[in-house]
Amino acid sequence: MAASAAIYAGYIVVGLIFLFPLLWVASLSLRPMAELFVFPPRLVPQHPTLAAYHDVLSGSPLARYLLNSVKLVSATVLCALAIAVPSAYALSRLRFRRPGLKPLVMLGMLAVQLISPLVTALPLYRWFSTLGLINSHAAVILVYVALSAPFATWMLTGFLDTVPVALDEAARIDGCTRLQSLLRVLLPVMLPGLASTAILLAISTWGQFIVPFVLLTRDDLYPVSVGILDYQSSSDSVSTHLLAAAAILSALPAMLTFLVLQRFIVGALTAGAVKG
Amino acid sequence: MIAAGRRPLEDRPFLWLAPLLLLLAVLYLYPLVDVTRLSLTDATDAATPAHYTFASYRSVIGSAEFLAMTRVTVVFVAASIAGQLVFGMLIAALVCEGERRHLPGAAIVRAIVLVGWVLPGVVIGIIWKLLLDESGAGIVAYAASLMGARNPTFLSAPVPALFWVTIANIWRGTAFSMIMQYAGMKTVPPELYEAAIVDGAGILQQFRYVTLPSLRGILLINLVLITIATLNTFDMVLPLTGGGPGRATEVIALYIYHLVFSEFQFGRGAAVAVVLMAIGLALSACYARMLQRGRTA
Amino acid sequence: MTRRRIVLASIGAIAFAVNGSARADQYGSDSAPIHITWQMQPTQSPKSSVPTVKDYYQSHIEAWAKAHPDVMLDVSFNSTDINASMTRMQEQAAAGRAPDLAMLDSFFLSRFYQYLQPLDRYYGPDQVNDFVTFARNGMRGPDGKLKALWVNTDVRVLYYRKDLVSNPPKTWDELIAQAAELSKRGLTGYLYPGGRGEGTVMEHLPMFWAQGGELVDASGKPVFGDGKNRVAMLNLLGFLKRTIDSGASPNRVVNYGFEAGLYPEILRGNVAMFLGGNWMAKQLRELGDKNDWGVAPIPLMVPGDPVTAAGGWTYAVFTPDAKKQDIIIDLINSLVASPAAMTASTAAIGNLPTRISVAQGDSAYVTDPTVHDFLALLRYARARPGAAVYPSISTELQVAMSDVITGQQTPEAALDQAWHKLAP
Repeated sequence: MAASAAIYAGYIVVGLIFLFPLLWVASLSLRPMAELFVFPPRLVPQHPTLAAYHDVLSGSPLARYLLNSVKLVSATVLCALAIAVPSAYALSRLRFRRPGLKPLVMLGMLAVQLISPLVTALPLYRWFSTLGLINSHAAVILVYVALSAPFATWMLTGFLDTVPVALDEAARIDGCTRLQSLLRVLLPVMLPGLASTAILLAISTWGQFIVPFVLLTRDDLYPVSVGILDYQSSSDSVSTHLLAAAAILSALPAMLTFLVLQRFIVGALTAGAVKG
Repeated sequence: MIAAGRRPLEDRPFLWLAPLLLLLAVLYLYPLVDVTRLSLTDATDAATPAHYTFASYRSVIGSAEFLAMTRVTVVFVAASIAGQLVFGMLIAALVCEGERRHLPGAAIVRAIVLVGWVLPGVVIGIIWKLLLDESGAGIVAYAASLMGARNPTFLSAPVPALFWVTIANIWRGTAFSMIMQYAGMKTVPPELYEAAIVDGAGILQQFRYVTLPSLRGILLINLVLITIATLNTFDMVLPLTGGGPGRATEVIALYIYHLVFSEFQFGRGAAVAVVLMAIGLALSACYARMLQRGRTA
Repeated sequence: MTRRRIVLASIGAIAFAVNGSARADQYGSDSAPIHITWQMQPTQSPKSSVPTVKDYYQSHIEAWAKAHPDVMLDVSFNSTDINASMTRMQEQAAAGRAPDLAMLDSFFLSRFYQYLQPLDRYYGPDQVNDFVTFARNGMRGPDGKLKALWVNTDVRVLYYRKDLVSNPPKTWDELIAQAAELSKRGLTGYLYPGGRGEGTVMEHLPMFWAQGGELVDASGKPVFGDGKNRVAMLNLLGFLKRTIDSGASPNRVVNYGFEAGLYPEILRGNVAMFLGGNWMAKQLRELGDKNDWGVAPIPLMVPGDPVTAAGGWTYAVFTPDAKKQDIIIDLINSLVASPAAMTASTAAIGNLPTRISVAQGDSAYVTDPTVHDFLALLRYARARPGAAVYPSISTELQVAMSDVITGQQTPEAALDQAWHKLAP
């Protein structure tokens, strides 16, 4: 059918546009140094080699950068959700003394997002420096959580609003405290919302640059978003192939995770995104 | 029934909100206060003593340069929003249709598009810089020369540089837009489409009268989130052009980065940061009103 | 279920493996009584991606550590963004948390004088006088005390392909004429860094200085837009415009903020002349470049004595602990500061020694003809001003230069804009 063919054509065009930059970088990563700047440029190198990957993996801490990123992201997501869930509960289920307060708080959550970490980075650096909290993953996680929790709260409040009050009311009538009703009844129902929020937080935290850049000076603590800059050609050498290999390696875990969890991710977003 | 007097502890919202508010107060309020204080000084590096003055604001606001940077930022943000929303919608529609007809491969397309979003901004800047190499070893330059361009210019002239920086940003952010709209499209009840078809609507009309209205809420949220993210973007631009040529791609966020981390002008950097926050807050308020109206509509 | 267990187990194994092993940036064991923190510059350390550099530092540091089992070296690295690294270091120093030993970029040294420990008792006047003038001046703080050791340096020159250029140009006019001619033949006549980056400014400062231009006055206030400095700067900007207008240079020079950006084009084999640093000679050979490059002083507006800009790295001590200082000086001497160590380390890196005795020595490295040419220029080398306002001046000049190159602004407008931002 013509429509199906058109759709496939669309798939291919879209796929190429989004994949091509990565393919080019992959191509650069598989070249020996002599072929890096060859003219005319070829997509497929003549003498492909895994030397760059070997150099990057054995001679540099990329694996550690990736692990640091995973560590920071997981801890941040857990802590941010731990703070956001009770906050969302309060905003969704509890009455405020003054009715105008709730929209104000919600707006506040959004407004706080506006404040780029770039703005708070320097005062935080100076402050943490005097406290001796530089080069501490715990400090970085704390800042990440502060950056993510408002957004998580905002999203979870939206999800909770779609869950009928009757559900947890019933539990409370049966004698549960609010906390119990939250943990036993609401949390299981909120799972799709939690999942999609977790994913969004993970992605934004994975890409965080300025906070770790400012608060970490030891490179064995860097997440990959900061560590990757180390591979850019410095004043004394060309490291384009290394940079390319590092870029591909740092993209792989994210891509694989997405491929595997895709159905789940999209399902979660579908279930909760509509209310917004 | 709650007595008119004291409410039980667990009913007080601020108790539940306490951890969040405490965190925000400590890690946001304090730095914000400090930034505002810094903006009212002429602070530079740690060694020179600082004095309180409006000079930082004066030197920034109203300078022709700042105006130029504001223009750059406005163009960058507006074009990114438009691009991400439109392409996100097109791709979401494409994938939705494909799934509706049970064509395999939708999952792969979604995953591919998401690649751009998941990579850290600095990596994306680096990737596009490699792509847009103008010296002939660059693949895009080569393709352009094959198509007849004699001196392919991507990042070495002001207008093309801003264009390509925006393209890279759209490449990066379309995925999020797509996912949100895809989720929205999937929840449109098929009956609405069936009714429209019965009424004689073609594909475009279905889109206009069924899909778009259903997506309204999501589009607004999308708009807010993209604006916030793009307004604060600098990590991608840094390796890509560094703000150049000249200041042609220096968005305000990048300017703040340079002021603070390259030039050690903490006072000026703080002043620009405060201005950026004010702009963001104004936009936020606008959007909030649009959202409110959207809800009551 | 089993698959999940496998996944969890492997994650656990990896985590353990990574945490269980000692950090690669540590020499000596944790149980050693003396811990010394050392902030290194990656390009001059075991982390360098240049094999000779990496080998040199790795082997020498390891040997030293073995010979000093009572010391543990706790190493961390500057990031590639030097300005940001130096800012951080300054904040650390102000908070009293600086590392014991740090490598500081020479043009930043002036911001640290007040925090650095004097080293006079380790290096007497004879030693210090062995260093070239600009290094000597930079190593001393305003109080006259020796605050750092400037252990290597570099100079900037005009590179030209001997098979394409028989007589290297000495003046701007000659340069443009020759380069335009070569460009007509399909080559890239003259390439240089012209974009946002410190390389752009540093490569062109000699052309400014040679005209008698100064960026700042003795007290560190900007003066580059005033009087004869203004004239000199306008001449320089006008020259840059001419390189583009005449076809001598392509406008993509504005993509290059640092000399390293030039490598891809040079390696492609199409570049006839370029402005670059001395380290590039060695680098190009290692990257497989087969061309025969000649080296000449940077072309000036009018013929005269050569002028060039010198950079380089210093080693400085923050810790007041006398015992640690003794150890640190021993380390620095064996690694980079003693004549023998300086000879070996600069040969490995491919830059230039700051000791006159080494420069005039007879090691294979300094007697190599190209290196010899570079060393001859040390006499005419100047360092960037140590004024606190320099990074801002540099940024504004980068903007001005790239605007002039792309035609966004005329030289006058570009300079006015930069000057109005910084004029005291």
